Amino acid sequence: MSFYLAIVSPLDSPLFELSFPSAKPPPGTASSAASTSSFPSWSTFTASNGSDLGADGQTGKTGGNLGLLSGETKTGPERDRAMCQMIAHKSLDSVEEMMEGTGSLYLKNIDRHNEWTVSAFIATSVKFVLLHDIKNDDGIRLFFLDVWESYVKILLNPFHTVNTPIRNPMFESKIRASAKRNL
Amino acid sequence: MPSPPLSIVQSLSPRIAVLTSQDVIQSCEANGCRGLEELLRPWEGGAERVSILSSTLTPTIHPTFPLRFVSFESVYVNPTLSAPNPDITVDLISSFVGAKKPEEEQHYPLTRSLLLSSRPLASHETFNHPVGILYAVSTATLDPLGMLNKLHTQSTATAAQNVPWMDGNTVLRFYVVIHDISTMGDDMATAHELLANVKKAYGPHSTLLVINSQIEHREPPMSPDISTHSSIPLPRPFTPEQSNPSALSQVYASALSSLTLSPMAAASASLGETAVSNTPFSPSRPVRRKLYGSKLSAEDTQRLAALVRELVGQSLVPWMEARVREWNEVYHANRRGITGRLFGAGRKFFGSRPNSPAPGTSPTGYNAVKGYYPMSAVEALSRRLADFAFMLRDYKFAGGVYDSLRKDFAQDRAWRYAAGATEMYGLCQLLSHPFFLPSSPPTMKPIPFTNLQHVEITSWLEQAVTAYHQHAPATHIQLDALRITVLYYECWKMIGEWRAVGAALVKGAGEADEVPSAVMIEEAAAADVKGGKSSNGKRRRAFHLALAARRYETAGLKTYSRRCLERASQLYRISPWTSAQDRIEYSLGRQAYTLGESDVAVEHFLRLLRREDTGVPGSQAGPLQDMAQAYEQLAARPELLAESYEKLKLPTPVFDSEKTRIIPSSESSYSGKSREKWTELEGQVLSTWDRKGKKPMTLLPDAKRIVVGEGETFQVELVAVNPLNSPVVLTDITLTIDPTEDITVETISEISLEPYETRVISLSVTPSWASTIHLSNVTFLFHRFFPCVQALTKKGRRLHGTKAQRLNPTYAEDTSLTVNVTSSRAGLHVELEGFPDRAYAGEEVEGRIRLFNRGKTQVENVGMIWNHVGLIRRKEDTKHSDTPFSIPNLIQPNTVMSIYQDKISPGEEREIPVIITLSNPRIMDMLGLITFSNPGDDPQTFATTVSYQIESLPIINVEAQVRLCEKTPLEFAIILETTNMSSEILQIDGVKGVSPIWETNPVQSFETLFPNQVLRSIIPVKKELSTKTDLCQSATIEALSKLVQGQPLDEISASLDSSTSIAGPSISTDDLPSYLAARRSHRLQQLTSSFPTISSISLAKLFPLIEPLDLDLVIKYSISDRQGQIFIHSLHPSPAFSLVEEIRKTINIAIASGNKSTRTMYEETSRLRQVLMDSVLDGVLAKEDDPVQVRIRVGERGKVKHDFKQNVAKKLPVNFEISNSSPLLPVRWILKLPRPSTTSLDNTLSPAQYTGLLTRKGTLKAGEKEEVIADLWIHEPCSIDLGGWELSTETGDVVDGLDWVVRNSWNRTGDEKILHVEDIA
Repeated sequence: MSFYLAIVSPLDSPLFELSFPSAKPPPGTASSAASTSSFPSWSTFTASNGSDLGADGQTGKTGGNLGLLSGETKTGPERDRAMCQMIAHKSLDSVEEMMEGTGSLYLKNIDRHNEWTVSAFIATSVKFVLLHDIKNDDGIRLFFLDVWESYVKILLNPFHTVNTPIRNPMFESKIRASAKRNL
Repeated sequence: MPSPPLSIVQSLSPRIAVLTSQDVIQSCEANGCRGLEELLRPWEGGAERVSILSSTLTPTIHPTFPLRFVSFESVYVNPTLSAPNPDITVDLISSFVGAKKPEEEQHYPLTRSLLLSSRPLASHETFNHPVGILYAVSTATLDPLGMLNKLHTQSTATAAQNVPWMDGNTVLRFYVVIHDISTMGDDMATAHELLANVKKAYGPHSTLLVINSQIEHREPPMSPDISTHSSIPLPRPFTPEQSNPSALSQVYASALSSLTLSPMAAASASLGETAVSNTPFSPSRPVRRKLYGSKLSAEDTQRLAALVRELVGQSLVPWMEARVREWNEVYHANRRGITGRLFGAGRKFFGSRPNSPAPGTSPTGYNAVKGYYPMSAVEALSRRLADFAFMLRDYKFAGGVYDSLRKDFAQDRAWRYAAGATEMYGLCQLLSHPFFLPSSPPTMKPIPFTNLQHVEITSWLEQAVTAYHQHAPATHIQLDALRITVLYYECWKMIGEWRAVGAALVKGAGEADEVPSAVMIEEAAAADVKGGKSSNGKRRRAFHLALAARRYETAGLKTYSRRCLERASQLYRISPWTSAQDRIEYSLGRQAYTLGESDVAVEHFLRLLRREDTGVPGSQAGPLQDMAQAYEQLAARPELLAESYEKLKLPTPVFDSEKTRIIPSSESSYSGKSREKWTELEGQVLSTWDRKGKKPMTLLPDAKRIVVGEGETFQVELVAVNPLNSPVVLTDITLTIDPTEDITVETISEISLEPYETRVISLSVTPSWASTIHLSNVTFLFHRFFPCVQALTKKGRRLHGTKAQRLNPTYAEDTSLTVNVTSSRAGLHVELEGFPDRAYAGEEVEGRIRLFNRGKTQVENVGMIWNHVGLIRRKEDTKHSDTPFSIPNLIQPNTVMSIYQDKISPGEEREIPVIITLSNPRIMDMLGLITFSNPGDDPQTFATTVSYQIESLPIINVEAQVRLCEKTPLEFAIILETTNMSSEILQIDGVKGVSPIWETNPVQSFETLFPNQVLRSIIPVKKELSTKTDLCQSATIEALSKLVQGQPLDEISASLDSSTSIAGPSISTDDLPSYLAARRSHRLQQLTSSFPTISSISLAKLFPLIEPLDLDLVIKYSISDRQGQIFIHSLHPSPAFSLVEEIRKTINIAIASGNKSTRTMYEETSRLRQVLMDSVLDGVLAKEDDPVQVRIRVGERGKVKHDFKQNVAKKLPVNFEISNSSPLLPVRWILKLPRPSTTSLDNTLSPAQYTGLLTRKGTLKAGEKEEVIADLWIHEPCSIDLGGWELSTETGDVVDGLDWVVRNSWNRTGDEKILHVEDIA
């Protein structure tokens, strides 16, 4: 029940990243069953070895005093963030493939990895990539439209180029508000 | 030869169990083979161009038809022998893959072959069930027929079969008579006889095989290469000419060590003797020799191949075709049309089915408990039918059967069966692609599937894979899923289909942390970038590589993991997804560390230490510690350290080189805005140069050039920024200075920086030798272990000189970090001491200037110059109380005041008492330049700066008014109101006037003023008549005239008198400096506002310090023992007159003649000129006031008493006193007395009735007055208004004593003035 939003520039660099939990209570079992595919569901974050990137080097203690090297210092959020980034980054391939074949701006459920589903929105030159683990097509569409509006306002700034990272706290709070409303 | 990929065909080919007598085994062992199946193994694919009849009875010729020969035991008796169990398979894969280097790219082929060949004997499919049994007896056997019978019985006995779900009886039986020439000789009679008997007994599926015909002993060939490999060798049988024992041996060796053909043999060979000894028939045997086929001749190989060909072409394929047809009938009988479906449904409910092939005895449905269909069940039969059809490559037909089976199995909830059928259904659809038809030309470019077809096929695979994964724990590896994924992948590779292949492979790999999964994911990464556009898929590939790397690492294959990570990092390193990037780098670094490559590890960890604002706070502490460990390891190997030294650099520099600066020891206030003021002072010094020695170009040290003396210490200010989000300790910070000799540099032992902290560090540097030094590097230990050298390079300003410079950003060389060390530099340190922070305006405070020679040489001739001219001066020892008769009248330029002439030796100190006079209330920033020179023959002058701030507080507020005095026109009175603004009790000591022409009587008073108390005093002023001061300021006017007429400003200078006399007793000499300074500042301010276009330096050349008509007042006050004076400048007692009339005339003449219209190129020039003209012709100098004053006197206090009874009417004299108070100009006047008005509005007042001349006129010289007496006729007591008269005056010049030239004229009308006329009575 969490989301990860990335705004990706035409040069593939993340202009803005935000991960946030869902505001709504988790839907009932019926809807969650409907949303997940027939693929066995496990969580990248919770499973002990389900995470394809976590738990670094638990077997790597061959080189001597590697207590510090065992990745214990890597905190959970950091690991999640790396994973989300990689999925979002990878899904850009799918986004680009899909972009060619469709005229719509909202590309829903274009890619998935484990429990994450990726939806995207093509806002002129930049792409919004949203990782979500529940199915909520309409909410996500509305959310994307809100993000788009906020982004266009950012873009009105004459000093902003499409490759400028967005560090505006107002933008973030607007997106959080929209996420609270729609997701 | 397009056909299904050999790996698929081979792994799903018919299996023939080989059951032989012991003699045959012995004959085979002579050739290094364990049995006939191994002897036949190289020739398994020997059947070529096999014609197969499809279910639609169309014959098709297929290029290959491989078989799989296995021993009877491994199929029937001990099925586990045929394939290793899943765990061992996984171990085998990891050991085989791990044994290869990643560069060999064998990971996928090895995995594929091991996966496909390790397919176990399973209930849900029949590919590994035997299709035929090959019985072989040798002619060497004593009772061959009996032995054959025994073998036959053994195979058909129910006990022979170990698994209940395998139909081991419905098989092709093929009989071979082996004739071993090496033991039986080349007499073939017995063999043929035996074959005839066998044919008689067992039918036509029998043949004769002659082997071991190589009788003469050959030289043992070289040991063949028996290393395991993954390929499928397809050797050709040897012709006699080619017979070559070593080649033959190699053929066998490669067949037997192929992981695809004989996984167990190859695996056991590589796994060592323990695995071999597990096989039941190996203990009796000697260790296998590494020599094969020593008894085989070329003909034998041809015979072996022919046997396989005969078996396939004449027996197996026709038999299988027959079974397909037969079983097809049964299959169709059970599900023909809708009734079949209905029956199928009915069967579900009633538990039995009509038309069952084996009704009655055994249950025919799915045995849910044991998890299989009995072999009598029609589903089992149908599956076998489909598999046979698949083996016969009738994929469309097989697919149809699989499809219906899939649904039935799903109904029965036999998930494994269902998954098996699903996967085969999809595979059949895939193999139905026209590309795989044997009739297709090999050059054909495969037409890709439509999207829909492809998605459907992929979905079958996904369904099957999902089913396998669902029925096992996620972490357990699913070889079935992997196997089927590999099969699909092979097909996709053949037809060049890459859409979503990567994703399918990743799904097939599941979640297990085992080598096969990792291999599959790496293969997925490879598949990602194939097909489609070249740029697509790179990111997906990187992602999959990262996943694969993790799995490899968990499975223990570090080299593979590292290779994946390195490939992934190539992409991630250039993309700014920092978190993902960090993860990869961290893993790489850690792996490098465990492999002992600490240099690489340090390099990777270093990449993690760049500035990243978005990370989790403190997350960089971990990599930092890890890097410390790795670096420790690296430091233990100096040669490695030296090698990698160049590569190890911090990604984000710690020190901000742009902000680095050098602070020379004392001169701290050079920078910023006040620099301009110093420069201004410097210019003033140089413009009034009066010193010995050469005049230098500059006095101030060059801002861009830093000069220090030998042995002088200067500070280097470094700005350290912690780039990490965790605390960092910097130790041993020091500077590298070029050249390094004779320089003492301070070393800071340790500073610790909080996350992202910026701190300024000062290091002191002491050069001990004259040279030019340059700060090149800062050296420090990063976090106590990592030695860093950071170059302190700055760019100079951007150059724009040439086109090349404009096109490519080019920068000047920066000199801000270069220090010039001079050998002997005179240095003087100056401070102001002893002054209060604040004092009252006009107060004089005393203090000291302290001069300290901090240089190496003597210093003499110290002078000072300040931005506040004259306010600071040396304290004179003697008191002067006399008053001078003349004072300087020039606006002096700011000059250097000498404060100390004698020599000051190095290290010595002098204190000079000085006085500061405070100016108007404000905060005074006093900036001084102290000049000094070194004694000797060639004195050089230096300068140092000093600044001081003192606040001036308001003390008294003075308001002055000028009143005309009654006596003479040139006498006035000044009314002075003095208010105490301070909070202290003060005493006004006296008021004095300073003026060239106005004489004042000094007021000596000792009035005490309390706060806010007002003192009013009247000071009489009169013009000193004896003065010779030029009131017209003709020198100034002449100069201005030239200026207005267009002469350049630089060439004009008025010949001003250097001093002017002062009228009357005035200011004392002691107070003069303060007065002059205040006057100068006032005068400059006044002139600057009046003549904005003339610079202050030029003003000093044009105007005198004191205008002749000005009157300044000096008010002395004292507060207890503190004294001060307040000045009031430029009081004008007399009316002003225009000084510029001459110029105006000249200009007017010039304009009238029209030849003076100078044209200017720029509008601004003409504008400035116009401003100048206006400021001269219409400014303060052109001001002219009416100098005439009129006073009317009649009667007493406005009252006249008259005895009207005595005298009815009377003429009353009214005295008009007209005075000219102008100090210079004569005046003409006309007085018109009014006629009595008949229409008076006010009846209370009577109009004045004058008699006599109503118009009077006259001329008055400067300072003269005249009385005009008019007669007023009165006849009754009344109030008479004396106003209403009109006076016209004009000033003028008398030219040549005759002509009157009018300058200006005024008119005025008399105000109402009431005269009361009363009767005496």
